[in-house]
Order: sequence, then C-alpha cells, then structure tokens
Amino acid sequence: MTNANSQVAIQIPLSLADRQLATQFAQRQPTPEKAAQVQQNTLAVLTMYHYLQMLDVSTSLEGSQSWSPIDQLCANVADLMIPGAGRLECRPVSPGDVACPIPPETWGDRLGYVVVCLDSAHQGTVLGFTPQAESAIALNRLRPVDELLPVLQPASLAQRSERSSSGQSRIRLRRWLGELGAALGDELACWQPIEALLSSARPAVAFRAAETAPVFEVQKQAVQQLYRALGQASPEAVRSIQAAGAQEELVPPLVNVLESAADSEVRWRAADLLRDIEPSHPGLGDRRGLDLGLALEGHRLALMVAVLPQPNGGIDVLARVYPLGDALLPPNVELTGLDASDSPFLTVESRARDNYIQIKFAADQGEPFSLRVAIAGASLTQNFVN
Amino acid sequence: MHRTPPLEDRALIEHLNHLVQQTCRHPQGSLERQQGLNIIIRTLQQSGKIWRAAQQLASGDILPDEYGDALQLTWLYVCRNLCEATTGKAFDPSIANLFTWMNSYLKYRLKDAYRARKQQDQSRLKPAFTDGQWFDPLSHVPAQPTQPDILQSVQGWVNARAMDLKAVHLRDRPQVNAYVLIQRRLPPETTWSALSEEFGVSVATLSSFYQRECLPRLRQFGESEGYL
Repeated sequence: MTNANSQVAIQIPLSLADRQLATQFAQRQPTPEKAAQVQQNTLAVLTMYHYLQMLDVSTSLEGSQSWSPIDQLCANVADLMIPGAGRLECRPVSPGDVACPIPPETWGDRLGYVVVCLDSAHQGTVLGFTPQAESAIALNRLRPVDELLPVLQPASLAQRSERSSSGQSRIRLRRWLGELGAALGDELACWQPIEALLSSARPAVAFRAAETAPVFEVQKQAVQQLYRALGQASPEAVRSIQAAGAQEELVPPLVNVLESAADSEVRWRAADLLRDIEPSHPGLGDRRGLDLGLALEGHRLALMVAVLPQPNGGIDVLARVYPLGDALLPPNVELTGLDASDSPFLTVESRARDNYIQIKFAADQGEPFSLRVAIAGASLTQNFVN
Repeated sequence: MHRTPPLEDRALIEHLNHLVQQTCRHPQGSLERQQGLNIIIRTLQQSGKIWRAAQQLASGDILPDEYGDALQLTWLYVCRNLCEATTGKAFDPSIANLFTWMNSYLKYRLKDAYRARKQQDQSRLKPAFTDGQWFDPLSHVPAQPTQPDILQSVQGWVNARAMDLKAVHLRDRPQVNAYVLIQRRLPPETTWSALSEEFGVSVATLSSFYQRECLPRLRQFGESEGYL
C-alpha cells in the first residue's frame, strides 16, 4: 500500500473468534479455491463489521448474503447488511495488490464497494471505497472511507437507485413526516384525506382503501412473502406468521418489516397490508390529496402524496396523479419530481389507458423538493419544505 | 512515502480533546458523530501512541491472538464510552488523556487474557513422554463431524428440477438458462468471462440473470432445506 490510502486507511484488529468463524465457513466448501475465497470474504466482512460497530452504525450479519451457506457456495459475495440502508460489499485484497476485482454477482444492488486489505491474521485495513460497480478498481483510485459514511445513512439506497435509474441530479430532500399539513404552506387548506377526495369525486371507482380487505389467508401469505424478501426471516418467524389466528397478530410482523426493510417497495407493500388491518396505525405515515381542477384549466385531476417513515428518520415518498370523475387519466399527463434547484429527477407520463401515474423516491435530511403536474401546456408545482 | 512528524505530545492531546469535544456535541448515532469518531480513530492510529506490547509479544508473555482480541475490545470500548457512559465509565479528559485512558483499558484486557491462559494451562491435558514416545491426548479427540454436503444436495435439486430450470432462460436464448448457469457456477466454477465468451452474452447480462433468476431459486431451496 504505497499510495494515498496509507494516510487515511483505518486498521481494525481481528480476533481469534473472527478467524474461527471464517475457517468454519470455509470448511464447508468443496474446493480449496472456494474455501480460500469464503475465508477471505468472511474476514473482510468481519473487519467492516467491527469498524461499523465502533462507529455505532448498525449492521446485520445474519441478514447478509455472505452469511448464507447457499450464497457462500453459489456466489462470490462479501456483503454486509446495513438495516435501513442496504448492502455494502466488502472486498478483500492482500498486501501488495494494486487492484481489487469486483465479482459480477455483486454488481446489482450494493450501496458501495469497500476494499479491505487482510494484512495479517490479526488485522484488516479498511483502505477506502468506490460507489460504482466495475470489474476491478485500482486501489489508488479509492475514495476515503469518510465519504462512505453518508452513504450508509438510511434511505441512501433509495436515493442512489433513483439517481441511477433517472440518471439525473442527486435527490436531497427534507423530512416533513407527520407535519404534512404544515409542510404545504399556503396550499394547506386545499389538501384533504385522499379517500374523501376520491370517493366524493368518483364513488364508483375502486380505490384501495375502499376495496374489500383480502381474506385472512391471503394476508398471511403476503406477510410471509415480505419476510422472505427481508432476507432475515428465520423459519420460526415464518412459522409463527403461519400460525397466526387473527388479523391483529399480523400487525407486529408488519411493523417489523416497516422498521427494518431496506427495500422501499417491500415497505410500501407492508404499509398497504397494514392499512387494510389497522388504517390508523401511526407507522403508516400520512396520505393526502389535492384537487388540481382549478389550477389545470378544468382538467379534473388529483395529486396524492403519501409519506412513509423510514427506520431512522427519513421518509419514502409516493406521489400519484388520479383522474377525478373518470376512471382513466387523459393521455400525456406528466408528473415530475424536482429537487432543490428545480432540476427534474423523476418524470412519468400517462399513456392511453392509465388509471393513475406515480413516482416513488426517498427523502432524507437535506433541501426541499417539488412535485409538478403538467397537461397540455398547463402546469402546477407544489413545493415541499420543512 | 514519509510520514508527517508527530505533533508535540501536549499539542496532540489538546488536539484530540478538541476533536472529542466537537464530536460529542452531536447526538449518538448521527452522521456527524460517526464522522468525528472516524477522525479520532485515525488520529489515534497515526499517533503511534497506542501500546504495542512489543517486548511482551517478543518474549511470549502476550500471544498475538491475545493482543488482537484485546485491541478489538479496546477500540469498541473507546468508541462507545468516549462521549457518554455506555458500557463503562465515560472518558473524562480531566482525569486522564485519551491515550492513557485507552492504553490502560488495553492493558487490563491483556491481563485478563494472561490470567485466563495461566488457569487454562494448569487444567489442560499436556502431551506426555511415555515409552520413548510423545503421547498427545488432544490428537485422540475425535474430529468435528463434517458438514452436510451442501454442494451435493444443491446438485441433486438442480437435476431434479432440470425441466423447470431450463424453462427459465434469457429472452430468445433458450440455451442460456437457469439450469446451465447454476451448474456452471457451482464450484469448481467456470469464470464469468469464459461463460460470456461461450454464450456470446455480456458478463453484466449473464450475472444479472443469475442474480435475478438463479440465486433467489437457490435461496428458496436452501431455506426449505434449513441452510440458514
């Protein structure tokens, strides 16, 4: 390591117990090459685990793919699960290496790639990280670990994925959960509960809250699926859901998913299920609608904004445009999310036969965001500030 | 590469006290607290003032395993109790400077380890010299039972489900299917680049298919077998 890394790298002691665990994982591998790979992956993950323990960043080894016997055997993975944020890949290198290969099976869904040098049996050194997947990273191009810490904050994964999918500017949003009314400034009076807005305008059109709740068995299966998606479901937990005798017994597991799932899709699904069982549960956040009819030259549309609290203070935002009066949206209605500098970060446009259009993103501490609805030259922008 | 010369001890201690003060102003678990801790850890590591126990390691009074274990515990203790008492007494710069506080905890942990080893030594079975040969009682302890062969059971499952797995394939490329990819990626595995060349499909496409269509099925099988 004769580069800038040595100035900023952090050395983490490895214990006898760490080595024993790595050896134990390695011993169940069928080939010496695979065993060495699993041993090094495990030590890299443990190095990062101890480091994040020191910094008081919560981690879940059990929720990590690198801790699953199947993943150890069938993939080259060294991820560490950061609940509420996502998976951090911890790639091992040896002293003298100048580059670190990143296995293709980890290119999908990582918060970033940390490189750990396994200096000796007793120490791993955290050299730095790269946010981007590539086939190999030169060690002298790594960024200091200090820059990694913001990425590990809850909601970073959602922000990153939105950023990469839209290819647009970074989303920096401010928290407004629970204070939705206050967040809306001048337009406060116009926002109302979405159910009331939609049912008064188009009673015949089914809206989720008005639908018949799915039968209990279906709910149970759905909750079990969510638990599997969480990646840390013990067979006991899944069995106890199976054994539930009443809807109310599904509330704690659903709250657990809401509190620990890193994937916002999983959390929205959990919120939908929870809303069917307990519509006023505090974990569900807020959901309001705004009648856009006056602003958009007579086009009868409604903007719905739903927020879902994240485990550590951030929020997930879901914005939808519904038709009022009709079952279908007119084509070419555009819904856009704008960041603090009014740059669009996410846009969706209705097609010929859409019931609604929506965008989803995550909001963390940061600057305000705006939502813009546009149709045929008319547009309305709502700003959300603290 | 040369290192910048260490600051004078007193200046360093003051610098650290200042960093601690700055860091502890932010709430526990906040990003700012984490960033501050990171800088403190790095400053401590680069100061060269953490006790290395060089002599004791050389003489065998302290074993390398014991030092690594004790240092790991020490770092966690320092980070957890720097601002507020979490697992022990909170750091108080008016009582001792950061190095003294850290090193004294480290030495206590090493003493614990030393004491535990001495106790263990007295009760441990030792090799005995009998009939002109060393007899080591530990060599007669039966080996650990071997792990169930996961590879074999995965292979069994892949073959039993071959029809279904072959039906899951890349669009318009039935020969690039879940069955083939799982087989080829089980150890001893074919490299991604070799597979890419063989099938004429990019590594990114192949590995993304593997992540999306193969690993979840394998995990589901693993779960049903209790490999968790």
